[in-house]
Amino acid sequence: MDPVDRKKIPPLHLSERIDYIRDKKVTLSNGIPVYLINAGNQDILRIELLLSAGSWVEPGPLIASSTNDMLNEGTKTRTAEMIAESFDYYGSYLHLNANKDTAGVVLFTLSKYLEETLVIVADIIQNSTFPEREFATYIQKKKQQFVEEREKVRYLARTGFLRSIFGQLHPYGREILLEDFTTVTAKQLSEFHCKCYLSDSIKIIVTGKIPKGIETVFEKHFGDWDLETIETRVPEPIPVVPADPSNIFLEKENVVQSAIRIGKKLFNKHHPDYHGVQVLNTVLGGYFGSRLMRNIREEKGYTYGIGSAFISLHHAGFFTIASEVGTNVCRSAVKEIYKEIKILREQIIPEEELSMVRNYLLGQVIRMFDGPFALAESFRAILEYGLDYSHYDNAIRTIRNISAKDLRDLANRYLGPESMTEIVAGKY
Amino acid sequence: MINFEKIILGNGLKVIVHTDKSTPLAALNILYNVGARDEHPDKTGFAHLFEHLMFEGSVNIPDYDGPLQKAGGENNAFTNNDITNYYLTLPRENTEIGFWLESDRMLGLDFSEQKLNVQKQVVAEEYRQRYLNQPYGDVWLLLRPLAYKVHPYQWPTIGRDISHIDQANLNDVKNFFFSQYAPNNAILVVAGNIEIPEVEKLARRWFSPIRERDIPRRTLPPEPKQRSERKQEVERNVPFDAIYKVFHMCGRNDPDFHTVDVISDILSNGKSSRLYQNLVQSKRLFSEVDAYLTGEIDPGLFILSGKIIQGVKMEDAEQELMAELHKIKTVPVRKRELDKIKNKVESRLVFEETNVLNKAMNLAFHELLGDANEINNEIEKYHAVTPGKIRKIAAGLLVPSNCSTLYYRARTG
Repeated sequence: MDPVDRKKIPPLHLSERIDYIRDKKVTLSNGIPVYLINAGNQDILRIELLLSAGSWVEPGPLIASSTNDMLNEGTKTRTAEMIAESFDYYGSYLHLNANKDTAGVVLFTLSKYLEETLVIVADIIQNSTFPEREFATYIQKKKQQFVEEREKVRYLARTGFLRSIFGQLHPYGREILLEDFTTVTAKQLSEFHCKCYLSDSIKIIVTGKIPKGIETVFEKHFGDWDLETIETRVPEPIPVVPADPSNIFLEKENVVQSAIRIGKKLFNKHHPDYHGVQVLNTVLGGYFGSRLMRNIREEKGYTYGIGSAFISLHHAGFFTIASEVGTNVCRSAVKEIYKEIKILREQIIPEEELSMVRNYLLGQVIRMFDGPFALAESFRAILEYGLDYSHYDNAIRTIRNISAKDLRDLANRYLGPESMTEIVAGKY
Repeated sequence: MINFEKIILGNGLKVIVHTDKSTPLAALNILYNVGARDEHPDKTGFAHLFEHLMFEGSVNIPDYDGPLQKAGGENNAFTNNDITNYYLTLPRENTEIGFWLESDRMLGLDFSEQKLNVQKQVVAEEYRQRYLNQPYGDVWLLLRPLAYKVHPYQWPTIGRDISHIDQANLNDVKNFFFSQYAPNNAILVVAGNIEIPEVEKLARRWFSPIRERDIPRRTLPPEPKQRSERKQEVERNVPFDAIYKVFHMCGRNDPDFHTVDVISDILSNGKSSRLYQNLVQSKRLFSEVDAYLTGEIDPGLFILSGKIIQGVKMEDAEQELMAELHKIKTVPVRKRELDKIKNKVESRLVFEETNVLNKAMNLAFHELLGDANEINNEIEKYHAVTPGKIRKIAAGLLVPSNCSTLYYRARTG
């Protein structure tokens, strides 16, 4: 047997090419696009119906999320219990999700039960009735969960941060209030459903081992819909009222940790600097070996975890650093965060570190296209922005080629400490 | 069906290989047969603290994460009461780098006082973040000692008390490593786009030189049968009352295990489950309710938990919960309901097979239980569950003398 040299890393291979399986688009007779991505060995399917029905277009608080959550609480011909029993009986999983920009449903099903489960998905999207009794139960439950969430410093910091950078009147910044649970009505949900779910914004993404003739199954359940045209409430881009950067302290009694959020409003995937800032974000706080983790967790032991993220939304984006730290070290942690930002702005990232980040990110790109579920997420992430696969080609090009000097310039352009909003929730 | 090959090295390391050509990745999972149950009662939380130290550099490799990230890899680990499990995924071309890293930290760690002190602080912050600074976060700190009086399952993985972490010293750390971390106390699973001979070659190259070590035989005191009902009541700064009822159940390898799992599924798996339909939707007593198992290797716990709707009396909610238990003990489950549970299990098992890392973890755990191939017999074991068995086992399990109840009350005023 060859003797091994344990001090030396075995030969490192970097994939020259990263392949991804692409979609095949079919269009139903009423115009609904269905994107088919054939991947995986198991006879399973992931079916996502995506709509412009997020909080961006809701006429009042809680309407988008409640409408989405209650899609399976009853239709013209099925009770909530019948719907739940059918999905469970066929061993399928239905995920309802509504976020700031979009809303929709994701069905995970064994291929052999596609017909049985898809017919119910079509029913809940088309014929939900939002019955009063179920609505009352739902709202009561949600209100309790909200009151519980509000006890967490993490929640206070996150919502405080978004409110601060976008403003309480903006759909991305609006914070939920206790009284919102009393003003929202089942009728509002019904109206929102009519307007935003029976809409030509609908797109369908299907991934898994695609059976032959699947197009006809979709044509049967979705092809004869009569689609309204969605009217968006705020058609123009984000109101240009830059929130002033500010330091906000949200006090909470009886806590042993405080939550920190430091960040700012930024741009989204359409911006030419998007991929570069993602690389910069990775260096600072985007992976386990990041500078924030190494300094604040691995050297100082102030926290169990710290990270940063650069999030894209349809009409804006934001950058944020988040952590929960012992109350006694909170000030020191905040100081160290600014110190790391300063170093990024003043010094060139050493080549050794940058090449590690490049390789780590290329590994992440491979994971983004590994298997039917990851492929679906990655495809949706371009589809909802009207982007194509060149977005990922550009990402790979940037990861491979961006220079340390470019990154320092980006840090100077976008991460000025004076432009940051700082939130601390807990004790300070 | 998950096909695999098993090789046992001369030093006792079990190596399992599963080839899946649909992925560009390879997953390595190393399970060490040591968990919080193996800790000294005065030094709890140690297995988990040690898991943190495993990332702080080994004898020949000062930095674990750096080279892995350079190879496009990602990793993590978890500790529970039974095992400590480390896992990573890499682009398949770089599989050997995973072998290099994992074998070196099995060979020995780069122990230092300074690294130990930092990780003690990190774990203390983890303790604060997860157990002290969340509403209902301390529930398991209360439930375990209420249910277990003798067996080491009486403390949670994070430790009985934050001071135990603080007292850990470098000597404890070294002793723990050499008495628990060894090829003959571990299972390595490699799953992904890699052939069996290649894995065998890598395993022999990197792991065979590591000597086997003396592992103390595990002799844990069994928990004596609970004879009478236990109750505890606490008041906390939380917005709503909650109730927790735990029952002693069989161990993971007991033939009744799957029946108990089905009982918990009937009660609370999915929106059509009994507790959700009856107690959340119809009677509006709870905002959330759940039934689940710890799934531990030694006799574990069957748990019922529920957060109570404001204005509902805890005792009334409890009574309705008990009525559901009475029903499952006395009325046979109907065929359609049982078929539903079995379909759900079948589907869950198929979905778990879409991910190589999941497969690697599951193979390792089943090998620890006795035979990795039992993973392929799981579905048959669920199919063998009958309404008669459910009724019989529920009737023995869900009785007051086997139950510990925690009344978790919201502080008023």
